[in-house]
Amino acid sequence: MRPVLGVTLKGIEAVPIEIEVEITGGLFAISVVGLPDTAVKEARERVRAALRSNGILLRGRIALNLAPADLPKVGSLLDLPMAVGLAAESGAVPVGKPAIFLGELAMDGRLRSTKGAVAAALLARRNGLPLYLPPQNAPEASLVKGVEIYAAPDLASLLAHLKGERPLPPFAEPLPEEGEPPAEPDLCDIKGQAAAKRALEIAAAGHHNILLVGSPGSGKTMLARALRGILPPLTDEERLETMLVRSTLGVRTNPGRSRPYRVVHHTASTIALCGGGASLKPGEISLAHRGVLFLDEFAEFHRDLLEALRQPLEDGTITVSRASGSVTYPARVLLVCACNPCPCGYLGDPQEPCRCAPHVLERYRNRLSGPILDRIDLHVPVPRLTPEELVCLEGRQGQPSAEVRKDVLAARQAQEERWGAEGLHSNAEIPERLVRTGIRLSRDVRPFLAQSARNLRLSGRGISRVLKVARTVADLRGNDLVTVEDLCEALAYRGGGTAGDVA
Amino acid sequence: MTLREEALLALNRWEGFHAGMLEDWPVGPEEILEGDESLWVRLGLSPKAQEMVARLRREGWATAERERAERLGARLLFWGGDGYPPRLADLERPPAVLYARGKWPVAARMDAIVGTRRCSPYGSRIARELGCLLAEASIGVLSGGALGVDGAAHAGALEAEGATAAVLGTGVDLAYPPQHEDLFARIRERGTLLSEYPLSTASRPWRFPRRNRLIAALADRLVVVEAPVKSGAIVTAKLAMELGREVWVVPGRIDEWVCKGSNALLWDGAHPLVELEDLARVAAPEQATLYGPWAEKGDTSPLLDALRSFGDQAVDILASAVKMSAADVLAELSRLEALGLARRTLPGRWSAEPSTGRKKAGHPIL
Repeated sequence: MRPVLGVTLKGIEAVPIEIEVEITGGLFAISVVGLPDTAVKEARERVRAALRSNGILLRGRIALNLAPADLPKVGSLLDLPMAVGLAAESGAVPVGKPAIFLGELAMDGRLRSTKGAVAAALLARRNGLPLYLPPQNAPEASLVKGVEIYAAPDLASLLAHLKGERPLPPFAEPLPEEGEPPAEPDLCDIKGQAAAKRALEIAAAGHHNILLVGSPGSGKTMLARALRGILPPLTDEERLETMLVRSTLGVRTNPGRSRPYRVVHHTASTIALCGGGASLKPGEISLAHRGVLFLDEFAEFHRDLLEALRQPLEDGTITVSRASGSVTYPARVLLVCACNPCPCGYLGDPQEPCRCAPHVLERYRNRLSGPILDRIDLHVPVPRLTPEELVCLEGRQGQPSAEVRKDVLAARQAQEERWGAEGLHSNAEIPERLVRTGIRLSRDVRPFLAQSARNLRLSGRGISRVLKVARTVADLRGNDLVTVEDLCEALAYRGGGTAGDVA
Repeated sequence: MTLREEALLALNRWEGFHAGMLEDWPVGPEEILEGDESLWVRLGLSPKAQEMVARLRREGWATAERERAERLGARLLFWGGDGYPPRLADLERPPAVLYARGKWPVAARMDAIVGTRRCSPYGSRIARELGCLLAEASIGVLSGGALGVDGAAHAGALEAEGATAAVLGTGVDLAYPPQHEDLFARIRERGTLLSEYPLSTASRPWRFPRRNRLIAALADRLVVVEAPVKSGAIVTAKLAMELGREVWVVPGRIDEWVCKGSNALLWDGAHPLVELEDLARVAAPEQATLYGPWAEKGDTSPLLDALRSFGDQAVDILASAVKMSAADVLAELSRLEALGLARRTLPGRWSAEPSTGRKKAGHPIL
């Protein structure tokens, strides 16, 4: 293996690229081969200028080969390995042990941040190689434990390190542990809506998808935003997964522990949501991995867009296939949807009459119902409270988000303990085969469930959904077995009472 | 089919025609169909009507229509003929022909349940309950087959396996509104679809008010569930009062526009329906004991009491009334729902189930 390695990204995976350099006599010229894209081709100007500013003057005919030759190379992250390869070939630095280099060069030799640092660090760990990268990318790369990481601010210090003149210290700064995420808005600032708040708590605890249905002004969007404040922090493993996707896109964020929260507008394209394009980029659903994907005005989304969400919601991953290849991205999201009960928004509102014609309602209902709703465990009506009711609730303070978050965290831990051996993180992920065997019920639950299933006309899928939610409710209440009370509460969030059934 | 019947069938195709005209005319219907222009002018037929009658005669339309009705299994009821409901004679403009698709006669007596298409969930529920109750008291449920109150009333009657009749504003072979295709199929099995319009007559706005007079005339009693001031149900109710039919009204909230018209009828002298069972009790006193008051249901809890004090309550209000957490309130509400003691009414709001001692039906339909 050549000593100087770079990487190029294929989805969220880093592929090692060997840098081969040949310098022969002749007029000065640099050519780059090995399917470079425009950014890689233009790298020769940046590389030449950066080396020159460090006193290394290139002469003669220079050929750079990026192997494997048939894999397209994308982006500016190959600047640094090309520069190091040239410096080594021209004798300016000794050829040492193999290492992975990553970074974009400025003309004066400074290193600029780049994407793919986490993927490169994973590659470095697999191959036991040291990793050199720009300091801006060092914190995210350091999420991958057991890799020797060097953060070089510029080419000069890197060359000095390779020559052994001024060795760089391995990057070992601890990540800044941030405190509790600010709850904006806090649950206790929202008036009323106790049922919806409780449903959010259950959603956060069991990672259940949730649908909020209510008239304009009832507070759906505010409730959805408040979910952020009660989600449990990311675990180390989850944090790495989310950073991997983000660093692939070059999204500049600090590797914190707050869960991603992505809002998608209904005009978004399928590619923006699911990923794809010529370079097979991850979409919003992958950026929201281990976090929240919020679809406001759910009924306005195109049907095919929602259909495209079905498979990732089921599998937790999304495979993007195009002519240029196929890539699998993680996509385990908590889907939050909000919509009006009818096109005018006031169906079932106590104050405002609904102005929708019956056939308009029928069409709206058909648009809403569909396979995607089957994958939403919690259906929550958000009634608009009348002024009298609001006055009546004046002075009653709900639980603040921080307290709810503690309960959620405890419930999550209970789930990790129960399902950890199965490789699951939350109750929402329980596969069908485990629903009937893995969820332990107290003795009187089964007859009650059978009776309610008959009275409330629950389908088979509906029963599993209720059982999963009941398991989360039991976790929140600290019950080891699912009791009738837990089951009753879970029944309150089933399909009834949403747009499809009201009126 | 006699000549007279064939003539009535053909004349019925002309929408301006009604059986009342026959009384005024010196000649029978068959002579009108066979007559010439001079006769028609003498009788005062408009040029358009003359043209139509001439065309129907030329095409032999009546024979073809009769064959179509036979193929469909629809029975034809002629003015003055067998099976024609005598109650329609009370009308000023009774239809000359009725198409009955299904069982005829439906029931010894029929009560009509009418109301707006855009009713509240409450209205829909009450209409359904009434349909059930009447059916159980062996009274036929008559309505217009429209969305909202009408549909719920039919569905309620069918649920209790009773007889029901829908008087349509289209031909009996069409399903309008299309959402009610299934409902109409079920009505045909246990009851009948009625119409004065020839087969395949499409829905037009003016045809529905016209059919309302049939509902008013055919019914023994008429119950208005929810109706705004300007609505077909109010027209029907006024007509029923003029015809001397008993009119009952389900009292609604006074600040809701869907109840304005029906509440105003109370002022006009309609009977207020304050207990669901009243209707059935008045009709069939021996059945009254079947339905007990609320207290007979042994299940009580603070939450149930709070629910029974008034309807459509949000979870927040209930939680503060009984001093329980929202989670527990939801759990308890679900339990009551599964037991048939409470139900979701508006989105996010709950009401106690009025107790009639019967098994409760599922979701109301629109």
